[in-house]
Amino acid sequence: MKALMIVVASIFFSSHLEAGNNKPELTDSFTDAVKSVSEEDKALVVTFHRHAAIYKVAKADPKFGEIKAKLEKAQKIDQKIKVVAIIPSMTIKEVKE
Amino acid sequence: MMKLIILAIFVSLGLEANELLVPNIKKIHEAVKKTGTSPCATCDGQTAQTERTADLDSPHNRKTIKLSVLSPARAQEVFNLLRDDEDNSFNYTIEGCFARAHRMAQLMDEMGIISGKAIVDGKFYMVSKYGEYGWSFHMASVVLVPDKNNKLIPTVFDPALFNHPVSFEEWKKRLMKDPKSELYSDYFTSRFHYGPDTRHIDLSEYNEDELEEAKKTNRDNRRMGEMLTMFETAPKKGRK
Repeated sequence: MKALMIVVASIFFSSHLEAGNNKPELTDSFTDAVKSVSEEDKALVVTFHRHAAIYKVAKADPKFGEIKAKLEKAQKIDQKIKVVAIIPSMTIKEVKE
Repeated sequence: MMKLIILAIFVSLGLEANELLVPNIKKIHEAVKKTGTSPCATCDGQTAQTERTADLDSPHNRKTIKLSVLSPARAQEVFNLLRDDEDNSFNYTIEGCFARAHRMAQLMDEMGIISGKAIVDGKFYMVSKYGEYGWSFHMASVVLVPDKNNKLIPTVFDPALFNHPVSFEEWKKRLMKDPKSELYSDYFTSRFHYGPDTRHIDLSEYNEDELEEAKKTNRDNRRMGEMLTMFETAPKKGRK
């Protein structure tokens, strides 16, 4: 069963690969409260209360301002948010309040 | 359309797999369910292994944690069982240490071993085959193991970083290996603590919601690890 799942998932990801500008992208999503938001040269560095990894938002991302505002707001009011991050670079792609 | 069909197959297989992947957690023995109770104190013979316990002080959060004392050989044996647990997620260690440690605690409960959690807060940078990544905290299971002089050493089970049990000091040294890493605080909690935030609170049992969340996190992360492996091994497509 596990082998079958891997084969099917392989097909799924190969189709994803073809569809997405030939650039594979694996994402993870989770809900958590923001612990800290700090700005570095090229990225925003974000940590969460439950999730241990250090996440980033690239300043070059066109949605940088929007994502930053949502993260800071969520931290201020201590509200949990849904985060979609690109794996394994741990780059935040989307934030849903 | 093709993608939708494949997705449907994948989802249905995923649902089936969820049922198959239900962790093999048996009923936790009453004797080990409560903090500080030796598994043999009220043992009715069902606990496979009985271990003696001793106290471990945690100055940072002002707690004293009662833990099982294991011989070095027994510690390695237990470590191997935890590392090889297919319901844990040691194939994806970038995220989810809290869920892995919770699963290890439950497995040790089944073995009649009272474990705790070793936790560090700070910035810890690791390098993997996927590149550099960081942790704002890290946690793993801890028990007590006597050294050559019979002194009890807090010993960490962390298959994400080591292939054998290591002293708490060696564990921290590994986490601080990268010059950019910074240690803010280190401490211990009982096995019932799911994350660092509750370190100042006394807990005497698991939170059912957190047990479920840990189970889901481990399942999702295990799949994430499998997918990353597929990404690595997938044949390169002709790129324009």
